[in-house]
Amino acid sequence: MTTLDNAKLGAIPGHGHGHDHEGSYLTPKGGFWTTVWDWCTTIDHKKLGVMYLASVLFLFFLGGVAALAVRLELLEPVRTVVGADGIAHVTGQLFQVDGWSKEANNNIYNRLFTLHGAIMVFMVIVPGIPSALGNFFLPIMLGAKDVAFPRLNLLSWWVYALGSMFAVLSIILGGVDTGWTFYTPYSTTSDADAMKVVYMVLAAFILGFSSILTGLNFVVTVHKLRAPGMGWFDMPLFVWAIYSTAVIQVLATPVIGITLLLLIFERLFNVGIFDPRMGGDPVLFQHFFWFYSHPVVYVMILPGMGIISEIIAVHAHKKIFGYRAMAFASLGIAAVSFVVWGHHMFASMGELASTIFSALTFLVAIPTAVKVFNWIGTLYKGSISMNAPMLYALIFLFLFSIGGLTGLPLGALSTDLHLTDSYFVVAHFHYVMMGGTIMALVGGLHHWWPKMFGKMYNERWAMLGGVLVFIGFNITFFTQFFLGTRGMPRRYATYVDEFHTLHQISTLGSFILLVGFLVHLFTFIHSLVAGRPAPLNPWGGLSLEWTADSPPIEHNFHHEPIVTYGPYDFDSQVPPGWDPKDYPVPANAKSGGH
Amino acid sequence: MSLLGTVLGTLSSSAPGLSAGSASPGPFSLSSPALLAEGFLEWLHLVFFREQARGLHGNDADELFMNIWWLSVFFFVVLMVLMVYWTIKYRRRPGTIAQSSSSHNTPLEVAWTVIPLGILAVIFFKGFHGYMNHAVAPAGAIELDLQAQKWDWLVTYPDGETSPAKKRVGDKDVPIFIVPAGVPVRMKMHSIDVIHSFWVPDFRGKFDVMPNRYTSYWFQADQPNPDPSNAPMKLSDGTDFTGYEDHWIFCAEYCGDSHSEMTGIIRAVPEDVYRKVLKSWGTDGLSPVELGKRMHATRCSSCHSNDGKTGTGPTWKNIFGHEVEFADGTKLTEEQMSDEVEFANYIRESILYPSKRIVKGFPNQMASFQGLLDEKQMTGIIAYMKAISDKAPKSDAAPAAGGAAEAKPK
Repeated sequence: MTTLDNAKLGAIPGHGHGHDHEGSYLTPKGGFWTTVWDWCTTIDHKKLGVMYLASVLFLFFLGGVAALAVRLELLEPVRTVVGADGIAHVTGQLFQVDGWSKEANNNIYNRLFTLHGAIMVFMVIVPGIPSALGNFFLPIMLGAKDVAFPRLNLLSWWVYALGSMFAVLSIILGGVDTGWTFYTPYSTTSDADAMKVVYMVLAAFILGFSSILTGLNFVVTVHKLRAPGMGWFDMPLFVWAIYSTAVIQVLATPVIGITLLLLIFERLFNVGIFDPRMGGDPVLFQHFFWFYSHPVVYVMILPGMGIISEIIAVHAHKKIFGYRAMAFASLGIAAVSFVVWGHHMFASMGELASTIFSALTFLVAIPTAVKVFNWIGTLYKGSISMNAPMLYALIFLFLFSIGGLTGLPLGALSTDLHLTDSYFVVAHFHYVMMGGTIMALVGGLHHWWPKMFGKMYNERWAMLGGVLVFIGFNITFFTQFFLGTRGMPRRYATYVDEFHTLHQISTLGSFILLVGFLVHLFTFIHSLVAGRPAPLNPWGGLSLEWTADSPPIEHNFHHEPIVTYGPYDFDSQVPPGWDPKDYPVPANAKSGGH
Repeated sequence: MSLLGTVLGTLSSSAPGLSAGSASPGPFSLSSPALLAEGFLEWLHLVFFREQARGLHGNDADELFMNIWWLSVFFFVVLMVLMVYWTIKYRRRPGTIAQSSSSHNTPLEVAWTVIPLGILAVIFFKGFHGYMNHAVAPAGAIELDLQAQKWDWLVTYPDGETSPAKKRVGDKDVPIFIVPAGVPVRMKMHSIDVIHSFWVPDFRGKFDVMPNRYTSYWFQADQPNPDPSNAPMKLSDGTDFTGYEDHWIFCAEYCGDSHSEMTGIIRAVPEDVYRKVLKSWGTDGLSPVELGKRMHATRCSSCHSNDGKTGTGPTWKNIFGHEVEFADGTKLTEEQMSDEVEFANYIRESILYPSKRIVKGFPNQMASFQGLLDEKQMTGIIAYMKAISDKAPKSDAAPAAGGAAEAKPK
């Protein structure tokens, strides 16, 4: 053997329980309806991962359409012009229904941004990475056959589907105009028809259960199902990130569950916890809401950080710099995230509370900064393949750094009083949530696509899509920082004239963004239809998923893997003179019939 | 970026807007490097903020913002340069592997943990300091009462005066509130329905307005710049308070359909002008119809028109003497609505218990005004409604039309 010792490549043949001629998990089990039934009742974490991925991408599309509609409406400030005939008419209002008042037309806009926010947060960004890629890869990276409770995992998916159905029901009934945060007392008093709000809140409530069940499943899986030889610090950083996320989900989600239930009770039975007319406190709702929803910001970003760690290590072919610091930073972020919720309310709380929350907020910046330093440090003296996943990792670092740094003036009290609830906040959290989480999701999808579906994609098209998304994103959202500092408030359907040009630039960018995502969609469809078969290990990664077949067999591995080295030990495992094509196919998988 | 910069530069130097009169320095001065640098900093500041803050402590917040900005630019550029440089320098070459380098370095890792911590501590303290200046009003500030409702602001001055002044922007008559320049002003704020947020971007601060408790926000407006584009507003004694710049008030907490139209204007004027204007805004000498018209303009016009147009709520024009049908199918007949007492009781009920009877075709949106209007004001509203109906008794209509229209200082 001139290059690698096969035995060292993770999967040492076990004791002959291998099913050497198993087909991949994608192999249909029979006719069309049998296959559909098989997918609907599957307890295979990979199929569930793919189903989550499909639903998340569909909902991302739906939320994206709402976002584009919002941007189109903002292309023009709304003016009333008196024509030559002396009749006043409204110009620039896109979603205009003849005979409706301007207020009623604004209401369409209010429903659209609520739809966009609720779908993107509760149905795309929160479940996106853990449920889709986490479900698929967490067990494989641990060397396990499945998650600890496969049936619970199936239940999670159906609960997720049920929750999404309630959201869609609410939309079909006409949608809600409360904003995704459901602030009281507006959410308990708006809309004569209370049921629409109840359905949307119920959707978020049900989706929370899906999060809790999935989180519980992952925590137990990480504790109990690591392959022989894999200690805690031999786990890939993606697993660490999913683990930290799962802990937050299990601890924080019940709080939002209770809060949303109280909101439903308030709406239906006039309980009077939040409504001041009945002696309630509307700010209490905000405390409850953000006690969950701030940790959830880290539920959104931590898995993305995990993906970036994987991509950078694998495509730079180098041990991640400061592995332990990275793992502890994940846990540290998870811990501090529980005590910073008040920074959403600097403009509604007392001085003492605001001061304490501001100080705590700055603490989150430290582990986050450490992670960015470590990622960039990993590039030093690496051997870096510049391809679509790596491009997305670099895009992530660029956008996420901006997102993080623009958090500073929002954490500082005196500047926050001007910037909160302005477009500055909108830009900031899009840089973090979309520039961070969505970019990581797209990057991770490119990274693991060959493993998930056994097909390669066209690298050039993928890179082109990435570049378009990067350009479109910055044009759309960097502009909004200026809108915010200049005084443009959030959630405005109409605005004063001085913001016109900046809004036009932002809308232009959103359509470049759309083209970028369409290029990706085309690339992936093309790959599924006509992509060339993927090798076991196209990038030369060392974590266990790269020893499984592409796509993996139903039980993931032909033999239970035994771990003899860490996931990033490129130094000790890759000999001098290495070339990717020299990666040997592990002996046990070679006989798998691919 | 440079393209964006150019576009924004054009914007900042030619911003029309409400405060076009404010002095903004030219983008660049070429006389010396120091001035050039200063000009550049100033230019960038205006790219972000369009104009200087116009209230006390506003420029402190801007300064902190710009300091954080430059600090961020420094770190961002260092990180991105390293990222791009190393990505290119250490790109994969066939047949080579990553060079061996240590995978952690304790002194370095401690350094990049501790140094940011120090910087963040400074930012926190600066922010805290500026915030306390924003939060604690100096003794002797003028106390004004600010009431928020869907979708209007109402400032009540110390002796009960309210502002009848409006400025036409787009299709909305935006209320104008005057405050004395150079004097601390403290708003005692409360909402009668949902949560709103009082934001004056020119003063660089906002605070939420709650339905269940009072909150406060104070500011001190700078001496006003002249703004000739504002229409003149003559006062009875010959003074006018035209010519001063306006500051937008925006509602920054989402509050429903017309959230984006919940705007107002603060106009800072010299203190003596302030006193004279307030005097002319007193309601003591007004007839009931005039008072009703004033009440409509200040409290009701965001939902109810007085010219027949349909808004969030029914128009006030031609209610008196006309049949009205309710959502539950009941109605008040033309005869009942022509009866002064029955009509007055219906209007009174609609103001105090608005959800009791909902006019057919309208949402149950209105908040109760119980305790917010006194008897005199309510009588005024009823009188005004009668006056603007085509069925108004002749004796009411004739003087009302004249009295209500011309008495306004506009």
